[in-house]
Amino acid sequence: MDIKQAALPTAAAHTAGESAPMARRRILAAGVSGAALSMLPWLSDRAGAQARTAPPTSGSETVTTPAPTTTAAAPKRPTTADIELLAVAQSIELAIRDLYDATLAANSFEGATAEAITAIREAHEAYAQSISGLIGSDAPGIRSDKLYNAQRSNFSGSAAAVAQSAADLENVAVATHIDILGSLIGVDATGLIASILVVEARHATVLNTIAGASTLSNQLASDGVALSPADYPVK
Amino acid sequence: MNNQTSPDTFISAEPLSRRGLLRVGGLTIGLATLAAACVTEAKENEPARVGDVTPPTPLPDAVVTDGVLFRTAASVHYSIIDAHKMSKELGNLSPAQTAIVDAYIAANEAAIRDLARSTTDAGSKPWTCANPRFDRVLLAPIRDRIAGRPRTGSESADLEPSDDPTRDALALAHAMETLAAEMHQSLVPQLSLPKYRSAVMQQAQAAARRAAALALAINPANIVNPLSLENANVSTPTTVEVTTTTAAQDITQSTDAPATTVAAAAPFGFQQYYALPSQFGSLNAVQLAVGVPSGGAQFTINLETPSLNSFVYDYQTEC
Repeated sequence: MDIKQAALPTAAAHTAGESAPMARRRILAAGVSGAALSMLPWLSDRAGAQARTAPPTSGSETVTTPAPTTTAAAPKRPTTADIELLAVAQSIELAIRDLYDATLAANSFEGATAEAITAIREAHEAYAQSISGLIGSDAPGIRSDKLYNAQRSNFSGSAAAVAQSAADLENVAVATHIDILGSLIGVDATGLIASILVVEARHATVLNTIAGASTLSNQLASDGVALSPADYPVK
Repeated sequence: MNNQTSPDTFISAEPLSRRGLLRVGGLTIGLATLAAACVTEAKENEPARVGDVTPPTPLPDAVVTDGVLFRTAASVHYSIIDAHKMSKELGNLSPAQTAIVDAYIAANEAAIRDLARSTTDAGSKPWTCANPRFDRVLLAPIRDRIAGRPRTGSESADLEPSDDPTRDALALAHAMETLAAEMHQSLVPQLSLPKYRSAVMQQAQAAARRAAALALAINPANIVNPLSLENANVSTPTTVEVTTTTAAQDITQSTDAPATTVAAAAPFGFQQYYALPSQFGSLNAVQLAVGVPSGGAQFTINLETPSLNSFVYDYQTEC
């Protein structure tokens, strides 16, 4: 078998004219191409991943984390103006408590009715205490003498008459608290006043019933006029 | 045969040495590593997806605004009206009881009108029908327990109609008014403007009065919740009926007693409703028990104040 090696010299002759740097360049080109090819699957995977990790739509973001209401800006603690209003509210609550104390001392009510009146009296004291808990040392801790003296005569006499006066006063308290609620800024204070007035409305219905309300509309009567904090300043 | 090697198969003028191959391989790996390090790594949070699919339709923005709260409150009042009508339909109410429920329906309609004005004032469109979630999740099962219905699905037996539809209908009406008061109270810290807080509390106090009056209509002796009296350190009222207990066993009783003298079963202690259930306005779930007592208990459902999943958002435009 005649195996010629003539080609090699031919090839050598053919490339003899090429310089060594050119050969190195070829090698480098081959290396870079190899590197590029080896990265191709990885790069294509990256391209696919881009589509899968598209950012969530704005709609779905909003649903999972609902935008807060604008009340987020409202302070929790009572402001200085709130404290003045809450102090008035407390003095009114203490005046009402003392009026119930006066009528209970006079034994105007008996049996279950007296127990209901006592429970209502306790509730008003609890309201005053809760306001103290909210505003601390700024709480006056004293009743409104003006309100107490104005109502004192209405809280003596027959059970029905006193119950009617008490119902009217509860309605005044409800209206006053709603009025105050329209000025309060601090969220804690608004929640407290709301939880007070909603039960005072029930007090009024119970007292109207004790007073002998014969119709539903009389039971539900709510014609109280709010007291102006300016007229009942806390000393 | 000519085994002559073609000159085109060479990539260099000289045969590649082992060292040259190593150099080329090392260079390749080095460049690949460099390129990989320079690419920003993106975290994949979603599973891989094969093929093309239609992108999901983005949900509309669900922002809780004052208007949304007013719309929601109006929707619950519509649902309360539906519940009151159900009470009339199923409760065999007396004329006096029917008059009370009719008055309450009218009061809720007035509340809806007020809330519609507040909704418009807050920049939203008034809502004009019942709360769909409330009706589906709460009113439907309540109706089933009062009216009864044939079994469905995997249920083992039919639902019996109530043994006392009037009792359950009045309990339903009372629970609805209690819920209305709680709902408005719960909105107070969520609303942005003080004037809106006053507006909802006007509705809350009116609903609370209605609940108290109905509690007294159901049982005039139920003025103050005994638990509330205990908390206030007031003696337990003497005229309020104490709920019955299930303690029927007397361990001091002689065992020689004739076998026929079986102690009578204590009557079932139905839920009691009080005009003054607590010292402060509660935001707890309103518990409503209806239907035939079974196994020592009644079907009880919790009525919660509306929250994110039952709000009527501004994007909801159809009743």
